[in-house]
Amino acid sequence: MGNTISKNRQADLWLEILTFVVMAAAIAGVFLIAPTERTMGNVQRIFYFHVASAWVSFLAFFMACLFSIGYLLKRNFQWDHWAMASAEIGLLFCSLVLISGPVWAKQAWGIYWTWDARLTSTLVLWLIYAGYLLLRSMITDPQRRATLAAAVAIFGFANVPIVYFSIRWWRTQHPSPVMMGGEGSGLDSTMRSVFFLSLIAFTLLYSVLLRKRVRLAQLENEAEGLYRQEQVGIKNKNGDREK
Amino acid sequence: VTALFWTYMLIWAALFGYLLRLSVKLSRVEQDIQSIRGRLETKSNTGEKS
Repeated sequence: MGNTISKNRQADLWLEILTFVVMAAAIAGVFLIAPTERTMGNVQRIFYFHVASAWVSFLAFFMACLFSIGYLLKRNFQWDHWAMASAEIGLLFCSLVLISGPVWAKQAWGIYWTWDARLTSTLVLWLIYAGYLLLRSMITDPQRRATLAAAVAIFGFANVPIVYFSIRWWRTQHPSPVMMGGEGSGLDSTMRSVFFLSLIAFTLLYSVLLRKRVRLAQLENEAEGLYRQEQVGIKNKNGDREK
Repeated sequence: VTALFWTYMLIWAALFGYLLRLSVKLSRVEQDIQSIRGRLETKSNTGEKS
């Protein structure tokens, strides 16, 4: 058991080092290697963080959906811990999308926000998972909390394809897809390499945060169990004294 | 450049803030577990003696 824990810690450490190195390379790529975009200038560099954050939020909500299905099938709280952790991190990255997008929009469109399909569906996605975490904080019974939260995570994920395809299905103010967007779409090869490096760096960061958040949930659960054990011991002792 | 700078700072502040929060909470819960375990052990030892 102790050996497994130390192996896990070592794996965590290596993952953190790898994430740090790839992230540093991605940041250097964004600011030093990627060419400046002709029309928008330097503000276009927000794209590398904005799209990478959006990708991680989609991935995180997808994983939360899978873990929630796992919980409903197995009724094991480990699945619930992973689902909660993934949804929380997804919400963090979704918040970054909703912050970095308007900063770019102000420079490009002259306004921070417009109620087009992509922006509105992203805001709805954020609200769904904020509601998910709010729901979790309001229910004390662990089984009921895990079951209801799993249902929200599974149904909430249905909004992710809507967010993704919104710029293909409807005419939006948001730019049309840069990759795989048909004629006229595409990126300069250096920009594409930096973009993929950024995606890898953000995905690694997601896995580091996920492992840490799950470990915290597991330890909190363990602490709660020990605390309950202590309380039962105190009650039994008091009962013996009364007798 | 100003918009880019602030977005960049905000993103990293949020990510490192979250990472820091997790690390602080982890060490606190680990300490809690150790202290509860310690108390339980002391109780079981005194219980055995009595």
